[in-house]
Amino acid sequence: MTSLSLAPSVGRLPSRRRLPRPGHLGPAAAVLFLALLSIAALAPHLLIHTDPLAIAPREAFHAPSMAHPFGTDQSGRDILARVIYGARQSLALGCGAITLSLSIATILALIGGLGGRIAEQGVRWLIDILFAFPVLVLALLCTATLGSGIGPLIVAIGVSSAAGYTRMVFGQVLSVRGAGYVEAARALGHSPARIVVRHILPNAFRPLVVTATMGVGQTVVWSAALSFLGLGAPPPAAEWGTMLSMGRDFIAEAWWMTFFPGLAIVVTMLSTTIAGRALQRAIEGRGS
Amino acid sequence: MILEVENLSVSFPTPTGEHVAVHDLSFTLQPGRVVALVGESGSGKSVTARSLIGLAGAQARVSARRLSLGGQDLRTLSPRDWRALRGRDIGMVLQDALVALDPLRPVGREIAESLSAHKWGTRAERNERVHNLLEQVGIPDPALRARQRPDELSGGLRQRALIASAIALSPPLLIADEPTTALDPSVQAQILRLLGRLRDNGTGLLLISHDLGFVARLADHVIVLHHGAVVEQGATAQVLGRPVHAYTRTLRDADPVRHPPRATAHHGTETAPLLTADGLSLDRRGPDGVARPILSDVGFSLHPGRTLGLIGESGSGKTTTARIVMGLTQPDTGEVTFLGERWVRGGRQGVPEGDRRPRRRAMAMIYQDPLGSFDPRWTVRDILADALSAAGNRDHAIATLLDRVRLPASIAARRPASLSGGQRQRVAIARAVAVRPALIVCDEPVSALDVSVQAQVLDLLEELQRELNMAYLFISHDLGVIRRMCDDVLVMQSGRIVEAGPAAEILTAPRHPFTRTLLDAAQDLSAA
Amino acid sequence: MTHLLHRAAWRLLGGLLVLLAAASLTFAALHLTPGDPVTAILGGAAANPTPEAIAAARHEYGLDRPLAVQYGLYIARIARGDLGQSFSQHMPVIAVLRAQAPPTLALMAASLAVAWLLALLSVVPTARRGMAGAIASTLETISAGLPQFWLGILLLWGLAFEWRLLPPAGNHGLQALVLPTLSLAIPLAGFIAQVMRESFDLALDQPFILTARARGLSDGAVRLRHALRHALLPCIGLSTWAVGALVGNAVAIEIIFSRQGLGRELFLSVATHDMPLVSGIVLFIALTYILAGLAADTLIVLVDPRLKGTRP
Repeated sequence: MTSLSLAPSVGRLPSRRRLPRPGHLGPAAAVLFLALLSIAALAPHLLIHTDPLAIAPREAFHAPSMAHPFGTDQSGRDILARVIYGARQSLALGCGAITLSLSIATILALIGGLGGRIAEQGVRWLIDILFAFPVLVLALLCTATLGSGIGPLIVAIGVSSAAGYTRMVFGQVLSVRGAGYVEAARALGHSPARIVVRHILPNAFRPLVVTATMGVGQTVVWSAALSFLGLGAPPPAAEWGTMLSMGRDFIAEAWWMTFFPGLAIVVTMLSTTIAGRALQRAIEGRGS
Repeated sequence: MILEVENLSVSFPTPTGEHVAVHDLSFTLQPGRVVALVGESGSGKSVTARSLIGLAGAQARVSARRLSLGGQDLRTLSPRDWRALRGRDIGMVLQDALVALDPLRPVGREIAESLSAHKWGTRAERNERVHNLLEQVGIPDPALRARQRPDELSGGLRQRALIASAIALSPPLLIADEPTTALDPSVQAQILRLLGRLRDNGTGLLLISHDLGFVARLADHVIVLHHGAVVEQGATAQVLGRPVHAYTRTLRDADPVRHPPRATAHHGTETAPLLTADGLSLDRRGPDGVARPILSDVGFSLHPGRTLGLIGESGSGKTTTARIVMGLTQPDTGEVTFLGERWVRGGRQGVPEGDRRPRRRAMAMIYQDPLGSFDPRWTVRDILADALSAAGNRDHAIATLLDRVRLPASIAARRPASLSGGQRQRVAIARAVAVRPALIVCDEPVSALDVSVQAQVLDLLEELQRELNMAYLFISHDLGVIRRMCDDVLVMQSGRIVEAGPAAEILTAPRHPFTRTLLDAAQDLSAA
Repeated sequence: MTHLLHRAAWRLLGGLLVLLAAASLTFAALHLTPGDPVTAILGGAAANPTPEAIAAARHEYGLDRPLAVQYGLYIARIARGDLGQSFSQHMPVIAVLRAQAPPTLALMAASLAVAWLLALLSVVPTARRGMAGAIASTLETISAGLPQFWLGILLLWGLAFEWRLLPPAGNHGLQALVLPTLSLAIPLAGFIAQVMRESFDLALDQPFILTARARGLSDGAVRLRHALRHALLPCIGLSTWAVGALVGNAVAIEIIFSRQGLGRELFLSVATHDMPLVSGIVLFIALTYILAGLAADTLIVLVDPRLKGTRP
């Protein structure tokens, strides 16, 4: 509501620009976590010295403590070490699948956006059709034919999630194709090739950085879901989905076996979402 | 005495300090009188209106020595008191009913809501009142109209429905914030008469407008605002007739109507026409699958160095004509010849874009909204360098180009999104002249700009035309602008040309009844 | 009127096209799967069929004919409503669908309804309201990021094992539906709420909201009568997508809570390479998606009457 006060109008207040605003803390934390995650994936031994596969039957089912901050599993393996070592497989799955998915999306979007009317209608139909197959259902169908394991899982998720990303990228290509600046370039007499290279490609694919960032988190969740169903790396491999699925059998006795690998998935997803949004704001802020 | 405002100030906190939107505004408004707040964008007009109805926003800091309505002190009202007051004691009309009324609901429901919000009458009584109100604002067949949504009504009808919803409880004070902006002149004239009738019935009217012609016809008292401060106020005839302050004079003189009409030179006509259009027609399929004509049999010719104006109301086919001339929209039939060669041919056997491309640099375009025509990643330098390279000009004379459109060289490093509307339009003009065209198609180039900026841009266009001997195809709905800029005029209605000829002739002695209505409406609005 | 018929025909053709694509996809999956489909038809390698039986089945299913003919026969069989025989269940695929679809459809309907309810409760009272809005928005982002299977296990642990409030497994009664529904609904609510909040905020900035306030309407009435309706539009489209996503996520949830249903059946049939059943379930899901799309289109026109006649 409007505050109607008799106070004389206040002069210029001191500038608050220098102070970090609360709006920047989220993205900063997200980027920090993603950096840690990358270290965990590339060089996990820098973060922890415990062997993620070392069995110690006498230390089985220890609740979180100073020695084992995330507790231990049924064979006495340290969960923290397993979560850290699990980053590699989870991220490899996530990055691999999103790369495949966005490659398919980009190719289809370019064919549909620049290949003439028939190609455009064809891609529209293809998207409509593929949307009738939910990502996880299609991925299950793929693993039925490809078998289980990391490679097939990447292909299954990459292919299955392509429809959603194709629609996104295709929409972007179409909106850029119809933008005023593309028409202005045509009116200047520039060649179609020049317009595609100088306007359509850069503007259509600029938001792809954002999509890819957010997509890594989403594909990490999807691949964890399939690993959870036993279609990924077989136990005792340190992979978040697989760990979750193992922990499920002991949920009544050792909640930490399930909680921490899941937390890693959630924080990864949140970090990519927050970092992606910050990127988006940065890109849009420059644009408009 | 109804509304008393003394030393009203409104400010907003921003990250860099307090922004004062309105400073020390004082006036009184009595029943049956009209006070007008005039000024350009950012002058604080709308903030004032919203403060008076308690809707300036949670961030706003409003202070006043006195702020009272019918003796009630507005400064001490609780949110609940404000709600009781709004609609009952103060009504408000915003610009463009297409968005100022809920686009998903029938207008009858919107008007009835003004009544039910104050628990007025039974449902049946409210329905009857809605029909009476619609009749009162001059809407025929109220029973049918009440059931229609704003998008199903014409611009004039829906603006009246918006007014009906504001006066539903006959508030003694009505605030009208740009009530006619973006409407066609004939509709503006109707709204003017309706507001005048409300005033005559004793409503006090606070009118907010940037349009001095409109204000002059309606207001008793004018307050000129500039950057939130009052620069001049007094009786309308006094302020607009003999302005004391330099800013008011600038505003008044910027009105294209006050500019002498174009001194038409007879040059150019003896040579071959630069561009001829003949028999252009285009049909478009509507949402119901029925094809409707957008253009029918449009033809004209344009000589080098001359300006051809295209006037008509919205939807009359002006922009479609411009796009066909630019070779951006393919017509069903007809032909355009440019520089003696075929440029556009209707139907399936059109001129291939590849044939047009080498000749494109001879024709440029300036849009109403230049921002959309600039690649968002590019700086002004990139944009101009791109245009220069299209003309085969490799010396990158960007500084010269900027100087030509009166922009400082420092602007080259900036992106258009960070520029003002006037600066953007200058960049668009610089891009257009960079290719040294023989013809520039200008589609409403100044209608989104404040009047003072408008005048500068029009001056610039005239000057460049003289220097570079370019022809303009000039589209505008504003007859003042057309009178000032054009040698010849085409009048369009529903996709047809209803009248064509020299501007001096058509704008003084129109033959077609439609042209006469257009002129009468404009006359009504601008006679001060 | 002819235009309406034209549109309906287009719509039907589109739906049929999707179904045809679904059938083709399952046909491809069937033939790309390693192993002889005949062995699968006759009950898997463990059934040890005789060579005569194999030859007979091969002939009966047309597997000795060219691939194009087989494809034609396959489509023709599906068109007749014959989805084949599930060898892991030893009964027609149709019968399996009839038994397993209702619990999953109930779970999906409950999840969608609860998700909408949560999203409305989170967005409508808090949109554009400073701190409350920021907190609700953060919660929505977090919910949208929760993996359903993880949430399911944690709910199972907390509410079923630790506090013993609700049954941990089974299909019987409404109580058994609560935990699986929450596991699916909370992340979905996050998704819907994010979209709803964005459009709600946009709607609150529109001039017609200012007009409504200037009439003396209270903030609550402005939200419910004006802004909400505008905010619903993108969420209805999203719900079509959500129907599909729910089936996929139901796989893990039905396994965690030992519920009968299509998701669990899909997983089991994939694990046993029971391709006729896999195909049948995938076809059924595609059909559900098409019907959900039709329902959403009808709803959208009810909410936004301007769209009448403009949607293809």
